[in-house]
Amino acid sequence: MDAFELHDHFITKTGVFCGFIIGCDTVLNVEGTVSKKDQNFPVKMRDISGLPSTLYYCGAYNSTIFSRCLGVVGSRRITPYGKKVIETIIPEIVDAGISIVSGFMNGVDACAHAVTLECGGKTIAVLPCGIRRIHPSNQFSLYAQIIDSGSLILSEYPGKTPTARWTYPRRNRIVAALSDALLVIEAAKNSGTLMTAGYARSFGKPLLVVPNSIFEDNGQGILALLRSGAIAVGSAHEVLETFEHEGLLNDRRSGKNGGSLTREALPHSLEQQHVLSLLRESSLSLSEIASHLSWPISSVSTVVMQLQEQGEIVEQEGVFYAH
Amino acid sequence: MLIKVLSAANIGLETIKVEVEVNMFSRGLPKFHIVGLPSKAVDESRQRVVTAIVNSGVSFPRKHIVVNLAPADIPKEGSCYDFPISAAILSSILSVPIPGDSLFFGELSLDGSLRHTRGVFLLALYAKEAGYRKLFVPDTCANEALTVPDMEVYPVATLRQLIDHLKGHSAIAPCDRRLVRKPSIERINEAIGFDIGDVIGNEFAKRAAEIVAAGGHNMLLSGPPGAGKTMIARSLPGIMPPLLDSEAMEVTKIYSATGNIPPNGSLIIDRPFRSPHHTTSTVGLIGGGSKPMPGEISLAHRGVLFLDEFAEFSQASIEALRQPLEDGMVTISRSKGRLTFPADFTLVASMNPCPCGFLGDKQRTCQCTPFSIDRYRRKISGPILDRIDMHVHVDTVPIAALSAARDRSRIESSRSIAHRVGKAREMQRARYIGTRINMNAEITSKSVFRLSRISSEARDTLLSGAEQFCLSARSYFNTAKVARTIADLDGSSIVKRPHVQEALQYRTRRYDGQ
Repeated sequence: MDAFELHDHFITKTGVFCGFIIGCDTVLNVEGTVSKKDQNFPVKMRDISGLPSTLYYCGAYNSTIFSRCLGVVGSRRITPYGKKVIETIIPEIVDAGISIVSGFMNGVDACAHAVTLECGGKTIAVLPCGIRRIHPSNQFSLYAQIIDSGSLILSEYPGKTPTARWTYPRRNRIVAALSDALLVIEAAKNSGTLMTAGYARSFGKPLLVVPNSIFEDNGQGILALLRSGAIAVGSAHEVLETFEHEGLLNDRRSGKNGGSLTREALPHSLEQQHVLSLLRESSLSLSEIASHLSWPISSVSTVVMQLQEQGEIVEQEGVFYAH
Repeated sequence: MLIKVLSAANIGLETIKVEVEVNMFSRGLPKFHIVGLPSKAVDESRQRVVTAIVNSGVSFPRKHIVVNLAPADIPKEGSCYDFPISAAILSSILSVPIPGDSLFFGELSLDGSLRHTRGVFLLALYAKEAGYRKLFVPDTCANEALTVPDMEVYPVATLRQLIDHLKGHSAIAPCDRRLVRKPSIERINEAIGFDIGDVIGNEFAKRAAEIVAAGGHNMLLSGPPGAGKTMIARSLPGIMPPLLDSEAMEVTKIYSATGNIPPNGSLIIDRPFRSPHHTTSTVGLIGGGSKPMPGEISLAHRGVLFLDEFAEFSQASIEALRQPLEDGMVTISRSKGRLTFPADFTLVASMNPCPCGFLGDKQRTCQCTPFSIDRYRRKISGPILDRIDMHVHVDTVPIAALSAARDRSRIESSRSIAHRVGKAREMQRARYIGTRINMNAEITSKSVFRLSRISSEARDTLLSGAEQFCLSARSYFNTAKVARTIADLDGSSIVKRPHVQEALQYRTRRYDGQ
């Protein structure tokens, strides 16, 4: 691994060149094509008509990665809630040996890929553009990570084919086809996510959704899916049940309930408890915490940082959320 | 007859002596020449001088007049030579000598009165250094000249007064220092009158302002439109300690050179606050021009440079801030010379978190795509963000909270915060005695840990925090400096763990594209 080589230059959407380095052990098996004539073409895609007969890939191609797949799709505008859902549910699903398929878009897609890689799982990213174009361009480090960790990037387009309006729905079709079940996390009305869900349904795949607030934009698409008969899930356990039901999973360790991440409990001071209980009710900024508790702002800053160090709370755009 | 009168030329913030030599020939046709590299303004001074002398009741001689501004190889700019030229010509006409130890400086009006002229403070500083005691300046500039000690300043309102003075009819009395009021507070400061107590809510940002005032750190305010970013920035000068005498001299020098001192103004003792518009050119911001002049960053010397809508400034302007932010001065090289201007300012920048402004806002949802957010944030490069020690989120305050008066009495006013800030500054001064450092922000990364007395426990916290939040080396040291300021505000000689924890809330945040 000490020898690195420059893999290639990728043209981003804006026409800017950007290059990155990949460890040499992955470069060996980095690019290729697979067609319907080949034995190792994904079985799930053979049965459905209208799907491409040739796929381009980047990464370690191994047909076992397709054996059990959960599609995870959702909004580009991910909220801390969606992030938390992914961070809570995905690790346990990955533990059960299920690959996570998604569309390499910003937001929920990217987060699902990243969390899967973080907990050592396999992920499949399906691109809406040529296999050698990184789109969205700001995710080139995620692209490298996927290849580096032995996961797979797929596309039906060769080289540096640019994206077009029609390439996104085609990408969504592949995502739906490769998935054994589709999990939707955060979706707005009339979004591409709903399109993927529509494909999954037409292919006869179970459609799972994580409920969201009716006041959120990202809750409207979820509401529509629930109305049309999608299954609401609240934990990794329920997702895995679907896989069991489909006969895809049988040797699962039973007894584990829910998907909450276990953390070592640290003793909290009285101040920390005050802040935590406040944040569990609603997410607040530092100034708001100070006005709720009537404490000087300097001590609020200190206590909140203590909780951040312990990983009890996270910050996004100056607002703090309890785990 | 050859007459010599002394004057001075200001080049940037430097001053050199200029000898105005006037010779009148009786032979030849009546002519009036100025030599010695005069600019257009100096050349035109012929018309002003002739008209002013005639309008003062003296008939202008029909002779061949040559004026030489020595040294002849340095370009002469500005209108300040009107007065010395006319003094020399009058001396020749009236056959009265001009005292050799006096400097003359000022612009003439056609009616013979003297106009307010920029750069008198620099002239006075030069005179003191070079050993000239008598200054003849326009009367509106007298206060400015008097701020330099031991000067005999003769305020001249009209050329007629000078004529009477030279003839000995009625002498111009030198300004009595005691009659000039103690350095008047010049309202150069658009931010004066803002009280931080008027800012409702946003305790976090107000605390950040306090830390900035105490330690001189740079700050980036980010928040939705209308959250109060500008109010917080404007209230900063009010909680900063007044300028020290030496600082006041530096600031007055820059303001005098750029013509920013109003008539009858004297020493500037308020902290400058500059908020240039985001369309300001790079030269306007940094300084420059074919004859280099100080820019906004120098006008904000020892004060606050507030860049509202930071992301809307041109990329070149933002990047050009890098070197002055590090060095506290800016050197401008042009074909006509190289000049260095001081630019030791506290940068306060403000921007929205995204193009629509509502990312992270709880009441309104953000309408931006990840692409547009990405593009917006990338306008500020990592190296610049890294040089800003404190990144602060400003919240929208609900309208209901703004109108609720019950909390008003509890809100701290600028005065009481300024008191705390003053104490913290004193602690810093005492600690850094014998060094060139005045404020915590000026410590170099190398000596942060040597100078700031951080407890080992606090250092561990800082290290683990740096790891958790992926801080760069520079922002790691900057966080240590901010922690030092927080400890100073706390009156603690040692930086303890809670100080570091609070400082980490203000850490540099880099946009990671996710």
